[in-house]
Amino acid sequence: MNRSRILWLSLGVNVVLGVLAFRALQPGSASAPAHREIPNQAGAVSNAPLSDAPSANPALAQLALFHWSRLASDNLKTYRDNLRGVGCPEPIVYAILADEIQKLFAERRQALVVSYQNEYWEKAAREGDRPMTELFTESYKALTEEAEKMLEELMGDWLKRFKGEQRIEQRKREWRVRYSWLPTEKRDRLIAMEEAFWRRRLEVEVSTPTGADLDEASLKVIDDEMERMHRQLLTAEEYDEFTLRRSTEARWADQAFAFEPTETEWRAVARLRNDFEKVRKELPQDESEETKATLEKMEQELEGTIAGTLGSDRYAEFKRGVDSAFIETFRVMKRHGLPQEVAIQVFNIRQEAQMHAEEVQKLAPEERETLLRAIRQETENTLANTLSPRVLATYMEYAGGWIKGLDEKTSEADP
Amino acid sequence: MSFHWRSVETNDLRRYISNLQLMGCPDRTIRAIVLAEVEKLFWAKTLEHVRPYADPWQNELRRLGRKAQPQRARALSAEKLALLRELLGPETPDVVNEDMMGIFEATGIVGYLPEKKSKQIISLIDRYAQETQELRDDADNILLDEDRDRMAEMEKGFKDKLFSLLDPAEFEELACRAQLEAGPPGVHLDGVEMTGAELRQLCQLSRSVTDVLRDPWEPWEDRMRESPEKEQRGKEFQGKVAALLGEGRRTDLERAQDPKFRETYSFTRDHDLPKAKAVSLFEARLAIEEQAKELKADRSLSSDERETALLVLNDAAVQRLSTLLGPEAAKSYFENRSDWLEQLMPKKTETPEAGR
Repeated sequence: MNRSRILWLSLGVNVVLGVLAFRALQPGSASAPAHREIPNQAGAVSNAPLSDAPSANPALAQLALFHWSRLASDNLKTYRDNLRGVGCPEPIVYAILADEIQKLFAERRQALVVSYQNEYWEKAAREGDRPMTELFTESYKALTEEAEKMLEELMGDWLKRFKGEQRIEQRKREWRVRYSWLPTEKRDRLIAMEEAFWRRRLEVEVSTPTGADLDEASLKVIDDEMERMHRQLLTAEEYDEFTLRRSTEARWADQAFAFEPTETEWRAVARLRNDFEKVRKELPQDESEETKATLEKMEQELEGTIAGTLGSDRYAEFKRGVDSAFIETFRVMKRHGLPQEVAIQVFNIRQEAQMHAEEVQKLAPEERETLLRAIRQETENTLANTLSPRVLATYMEYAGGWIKGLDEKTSEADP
Repeated sequence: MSFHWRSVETNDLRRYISNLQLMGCPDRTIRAIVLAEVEKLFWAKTLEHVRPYADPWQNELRRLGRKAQPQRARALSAEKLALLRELLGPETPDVVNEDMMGIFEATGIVGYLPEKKSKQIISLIDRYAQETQELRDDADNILLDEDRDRMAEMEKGFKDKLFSLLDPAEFEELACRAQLEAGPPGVHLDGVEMTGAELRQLCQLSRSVTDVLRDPWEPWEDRMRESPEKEQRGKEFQGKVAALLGEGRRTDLERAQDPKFRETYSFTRDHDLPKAKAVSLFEARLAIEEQAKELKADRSLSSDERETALLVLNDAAVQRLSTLLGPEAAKSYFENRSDWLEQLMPKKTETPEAGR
């Protein structure tokens, strides 16, 4: 990653991600147990006057009599117990304690900032090429870890469990969409089953000490059992569809532009690719020439079979759709709101020009140079006739580098 | 205690705040509670949004769904900020928690400013970086004239705000630090000794080639895209750097531009070896490579003689480098960084390179 990016990660995105990461630590799951719900609408703020006098309202009077100082304590364990003792929800206990810990560490953090600032440039000069933020955050990391440990000591595994519950809740929403091809009743049973298994996985995560590796053997037992249950729940046909849809090969046409497979095409190619993967996994896991040759042959056969399945025209459309030269053209045309046909037309112009340029490579240098210049000139004219000046300018900037390369090939080809 | 949390919490966040105030809850604690409650509210909102179903063969529909995600996230984020400002006051910054790592990293850069100002700057930069990123995302990173105009407007707005917050000296310092963090363009400084003041001046000069504060999200390939004008600016910059460092460090500067030296220097740094070792190692490498080149080009040698000579050279090179580095560093060097040495050795069928 280049350093300019790193800077803006520091100054920009990291700020945002940091906020998100921190906020992920903040309480707020709808699934968290025993918490009262805030209505799910932005109108969680009333405009009603807040002028109720405590004397007129017994509940407010009670609040006025109970001072916060009876809950707060310099001893954070006492503070925590006091909050829990009055029924404060766990996410709020967490938020309050996290804030208290931040306060405790504020002075040390400030001291770090000052020491760093005092010799910023001298330090940077000594460090050479290393970004200063990296140096700075290294010293800060130890402090952060200390604070996190303190919070974990106070709150135990609550945070892990809470975040795990949030993940499950999010997954449930996704499953509802992802499995909507199943009959509703079957879909709901599948979701309930997956939820139960993910909860079991969560227990493994929660019981693993922070920083330690997860018990992969336990997770595998859970995963294997989940797989068996899938087979039991779904019919053979449904299970087949289920595995096909969740396979990596199901996304074979994802990156293709201006190409949308039909359902039949998608299914046929996904199956072919899955079968190929099964066989590929059986090959020896080595780098030997023999393995490489076998794999190459298999890949060629696969491509041939896919071409046969899709038919030559559709196969060509697919190959064009994943060709980076076409993709960049497509993006430029789309940016200008032009239909994909224009992208195809421009791509064809490119292919034709490059083909002609290739053909003249075998000619004598002088003749070749003349012809390449002519091909370039003609190509530029054709493009200018096809695209408006505005679109052409964008195309030249973002996707037209190849035109310059047409007559540059001369010097490369010279002996 | 007869008090229960039920009597303070309510679905109405303003009333909740007022209840907490009534019982003497410190402002900072109220803020922490409100942040947690608002987060909870918006977590539920993010769950509400479910991407429309698309079958695996529906490419376009899925792409549209993916594109809508960040837009929705942005809208929610803006809505959340508005609510927080309503609850906690209009001064509530975009970035509400100043104690987390990302903010702290940024503090490393703007920490020379008074605390309040540094927070304002972080917030401003964060917003600007987000806006430019959004514009680039929406344009699929293909900027048209109107995008560039918009970008220029954003930059102007950003810089106007920066200037209103910073005096010229403070702004200059920020710009220099931004250059440093991005790495001064077009010049390597590995092993070039400099004072802090010189480094700062160099960063200042580098703004003439690429100004990092101008477009934080300019893709690296665009930033690096060659143009005659840029090339000229780069040359001028390199000339100024050479002048800044003077004759005394000219050799150091030239050496730093050689990737072989940078590789060597990085190795010696990783092994806590002095810069002098890096220089000796680099010079030894150049000498060995030169000898190998001469042997390979020598037409008077038969293939077997050449191979033998190269093997002898290799042994001598290993010996020389081991003595130079000491046993521990040498072991690591031969394990990780000596590809170049292996490449000097002949393949059985290799023929003289004369005439190439």
